[in-house]
Amino acid sequence: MFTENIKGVFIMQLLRKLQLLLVVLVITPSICYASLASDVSSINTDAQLLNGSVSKSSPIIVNSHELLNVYTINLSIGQILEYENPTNKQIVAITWHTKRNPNIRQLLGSYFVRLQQQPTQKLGHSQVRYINDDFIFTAGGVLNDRYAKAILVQALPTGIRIEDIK
Amino acid sequence: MMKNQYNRWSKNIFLTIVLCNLSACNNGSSSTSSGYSRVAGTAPIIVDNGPLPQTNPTQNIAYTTVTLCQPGTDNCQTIDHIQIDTGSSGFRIISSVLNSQLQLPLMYDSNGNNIVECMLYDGGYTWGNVAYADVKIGDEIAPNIPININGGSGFAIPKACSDYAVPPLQNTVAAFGANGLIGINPQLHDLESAIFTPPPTNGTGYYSCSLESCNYIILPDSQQVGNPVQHFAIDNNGELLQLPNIMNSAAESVTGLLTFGINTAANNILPQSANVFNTNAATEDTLLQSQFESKLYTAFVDSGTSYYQIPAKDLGIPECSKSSSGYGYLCPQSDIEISGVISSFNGSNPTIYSFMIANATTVFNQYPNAAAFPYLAGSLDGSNQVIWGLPFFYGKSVYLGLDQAQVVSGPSTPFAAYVEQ
Repeated sequence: MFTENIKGVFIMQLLRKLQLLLVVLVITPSICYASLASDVSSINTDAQLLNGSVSKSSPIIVNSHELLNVYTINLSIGQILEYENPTNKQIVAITWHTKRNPNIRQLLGSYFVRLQQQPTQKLGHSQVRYINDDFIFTAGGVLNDRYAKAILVQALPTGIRIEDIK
Repeated sequence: MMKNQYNRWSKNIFLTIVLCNLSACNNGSSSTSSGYSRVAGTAPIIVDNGPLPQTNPTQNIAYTTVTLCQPGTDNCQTIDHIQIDTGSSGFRIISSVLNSQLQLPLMYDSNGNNIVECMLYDGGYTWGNVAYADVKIGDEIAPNIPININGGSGFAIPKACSDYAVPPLQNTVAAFGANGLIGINPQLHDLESAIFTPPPTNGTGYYSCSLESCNYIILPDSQQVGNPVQHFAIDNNGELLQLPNIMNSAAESVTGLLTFGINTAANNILPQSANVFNTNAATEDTLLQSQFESKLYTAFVDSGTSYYQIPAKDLGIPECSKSSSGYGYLCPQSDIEISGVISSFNGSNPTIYSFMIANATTVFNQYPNAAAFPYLAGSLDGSNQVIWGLPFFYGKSVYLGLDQAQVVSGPSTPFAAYVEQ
């Protein structure tokens, strides 16, 4: 009887732990959510976590076709632009011009890890660039004036050039 | 042969500058007319392949030599290859270059926690303790000032720092490209409260670190790492950088002179003929305005940037191909002359400035061992920032007047000014 009670308590504790784990697993994706390469809905998550507000800007139009939707996240320290490919609703590019860097890991997700792990080309203390076949990242600026551009090159719709991402 | 030739040129030019300064012949200003008989402190500048020339040769980085001392003692260490950066404020040193005998007192907060700084450049970031040192440059001393020791703090980098940083971490000499850095921007402190509004809550700045965690804090301006020049006894209102002209597209090394103070001594007189630009103290102390083909840009005079950063696409100048040695820079078909306008942050005193741009791949291939490149340029890459990087400094005397300082018979501060040699 005593042993059975202990077993019961143990099982209850185990269930509680599993429950907790489940909650953590459910919550974690929204915390770790990153915009680049994610669904367009992630923009709202970015805006919330960065304490900003989202507005839709003019799309990029080529030959009368709206090839990229543009969303602006307004922050107290500047602006972030996120570019959506409307055909698959994927965020294919992010740029920012801010007084200070935003949370770059939040915005770039797994591509931020890639930047940390692979060599970038450093041009003095004020500019850095990482250019690969599928991912381009350039950043620059000085003390209180920062800008950057992250582009999934192969995910850009046909007709969009890298220069179109401002 | 080439090396000897370059050395001879640079030595001759350096000698000319020094003699000129010593006799106060700067554009006609003399010690008699200026009324100064004293000479301000100076420190040598060298542009060479850096502290690790064999493994990590650097290009277009200006260095000087600084002596660090335990405050109020003769326990000192002289360190060469300290980068001169007019784009930032404060003295920083890579921890691995410090002797174990040099025990610099660390900064703590009122709870006894270490103060550690996360410094974000946009070409990387650093993380390390804030400590106190007497910083000696030439004959000038900044006593017992906060400095930043990059690396070796023992505290793990918090996500509030690293998640906001553009990699790579630059806590080593190889990654940093220098043994340390002396930031001599007109902005007095590196996180000046008047400029950094709203106050940051993460990323670049100061952290209070206990054994458990590091938390972002706002440090009063007076406790921040800042431009050491403001702490000198007399020559504390600005600085003058002089680098000679380079006769070809490159030089193996170049020497020049860093002089402290403006209009405080016979050798730091700002000539009447100087082009003077007021910078914007409210937003950024080296913020100017520049114009290329009727388009306006914000602009900075930044010796810490190794090239002219210009609107290359608008000017029709191609970038170098990815497979070439000049990758990252511009590759016009042949040397071309470009003209732009530099003005004060509010557009006043517009001055046309013309400069040459060379094909970076051609120059790098032609001068594989060179360190100084006067015609190096890169694209501003869609941003709105023109940067007058180190090539701008060759063949000029560049003056920077510190924020809140007074320059006798000179312009209001902060300002940037230059005179062609």
